[in-house]
Amino acid sequence: MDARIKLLRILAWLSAFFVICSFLMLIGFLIYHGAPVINTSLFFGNTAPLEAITGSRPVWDGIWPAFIGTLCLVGLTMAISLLPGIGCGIYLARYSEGRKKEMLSMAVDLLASVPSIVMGLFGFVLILFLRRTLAPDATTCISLAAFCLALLVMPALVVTTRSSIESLPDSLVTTGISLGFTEQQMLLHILIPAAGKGILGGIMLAMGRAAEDTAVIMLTGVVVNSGLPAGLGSKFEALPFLIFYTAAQYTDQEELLRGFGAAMVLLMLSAALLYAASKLQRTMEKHWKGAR
Amino acid sequence: MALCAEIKNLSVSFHGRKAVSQVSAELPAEGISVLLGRSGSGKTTFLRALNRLNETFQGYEGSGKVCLSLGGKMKDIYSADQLTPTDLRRKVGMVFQIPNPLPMSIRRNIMLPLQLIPGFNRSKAEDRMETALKTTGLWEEVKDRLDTPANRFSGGQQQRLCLARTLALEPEILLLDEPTASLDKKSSELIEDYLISLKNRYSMVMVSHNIRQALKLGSFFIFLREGKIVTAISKKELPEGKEAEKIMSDLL
Ligand SMILES: Nc1ncnc2c1ncn2[C@@H]1O[C@H](COP(=O)(O)OP(=O)(O)OP(=O)(O)O)[C@@H](O)[C@H]1O
Ligand SMILES: [Mg+2]
Repeated sequence: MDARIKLLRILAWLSAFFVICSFLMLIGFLIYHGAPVINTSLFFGNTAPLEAITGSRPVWDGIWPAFIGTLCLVGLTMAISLLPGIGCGIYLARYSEGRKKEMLSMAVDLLASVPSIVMGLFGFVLILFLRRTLAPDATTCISLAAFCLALLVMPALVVTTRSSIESLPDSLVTTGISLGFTEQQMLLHILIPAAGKGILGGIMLAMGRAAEDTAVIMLTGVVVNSGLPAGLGSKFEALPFLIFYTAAQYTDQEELLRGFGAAMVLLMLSAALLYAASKLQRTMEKHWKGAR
Repeated sequence: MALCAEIKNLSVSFHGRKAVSQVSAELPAEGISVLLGRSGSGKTTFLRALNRLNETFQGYEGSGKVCLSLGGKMKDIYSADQLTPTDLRRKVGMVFQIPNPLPMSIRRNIMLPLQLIPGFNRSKAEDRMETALKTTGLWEEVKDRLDTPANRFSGGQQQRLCLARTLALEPEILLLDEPTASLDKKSSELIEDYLISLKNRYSMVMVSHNIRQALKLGSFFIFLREGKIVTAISKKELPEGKEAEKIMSDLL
């Protein structure tokens, strides 16, 4: 018996070690190649930073437009997917029953299993359809890409919201009801805040996915050189696509290194987004709990 | 005799199984009415019928009539046009067997339900909180720690917080479901003392497992068995001292 527990412990330790090692190796590799090239010229090329940031002059050989493109893309994707994703999770956890619940959760599971390239194709076909019917001028653009990405990340939001609300103790609901909370107050003031951490997990997953996905945007409007995204209907650049493109097409060592720099920037951007989200959640939770 | 509750032919079942069947009773407005009975006899279900909490559980089915004395009038709480369930539950406060503070600070625990009353004046809430905490003897213990999470306090303190939270809503009737069952003797006695001090201000209905406690607090006793009322007697009809305890335990 004792030996078995020991074995289990060693296995668990090895697994943890494996995860940490893989993580460190990946990060180390990226930092080794990427860190030395991170500087203003990686971002802005030959354009003066201030002029690039205000957009008064285009950036030709820097990753700045791709950086902003990814940021806008993630923002748009979250703007489209947050409400329906969390709303659907709440609906599944609290209001649906029986067959309806089964069907809906199956639909969500199916959506979750759609590969991102298929989602990209869907967007592409959608725009072809629109061109033939309602909007003859429609082209692939950042809104379309965000819409398709939103479909891609929605299941993560639905599932995490649902499971974190369902795992709250029943007594929480009973307490709220006995204190005269209406259903709406219960959701807004008790259930959603109490499930906040879980929901945040879903949001992080969704943001990470939206920031790194390449297949969807490749078919729905990303380009190599468009400058900053000009509007909701414009083409755009994005970091993951830039990395992919560089890896496939680089001509010299310097270009390759810029790819590493971009990868590193993407990693840092994701980390910053995750940090901001968790900071926001912690602040909101503190406010909700009223604890100092 | 003034009544606080009038129950006629109340039946409640969950998933088709009867929890309370065909119960009729009249509870006096004065003093504490105590529900007694073995485990599973339907005491909690009976109590929850008085603030319409049963209907929030799955598989609920119910029939019968419950009238409560609210605002000086007898009101049929299950008829749609008299009271919304939300208003009813603010007027008929409930304290549970296991202390159930919300996962937030003491202050927020009491303030949140108040703030959610439509049109409630925020500045009044602080006063009500202080009064409620004083009534349950908690003010001196927690006044410097109002922003500490409620679950860091002892079981007895948490239960007094739950009582204070209910009192802050200024209810007219208090429902107490074995409020001391999860506490040690000392905390129990403390709560019992506060309940005695409150019994002239509120009509109270309480579930108790403990005959000694029931005799100490109660003035009217209802015995339940398998969802039906066996007997209802008032304290006046009972003899004094040890004999009463014996009669009560025979009825259980
Ligand atoms: N929410 C519920 N869902 C399903 N069945 C329930 C529910 N609440 C109570 N019951 C059932 O109703 C019956 C009476 O339960 P109740 O909780 O009223 O008993 P009780 O007298 O309060 O018991 P105890 O002294 O153990 O608290 C039991 O058979 C119980 O299984
Ligand atoms: Mg009970």
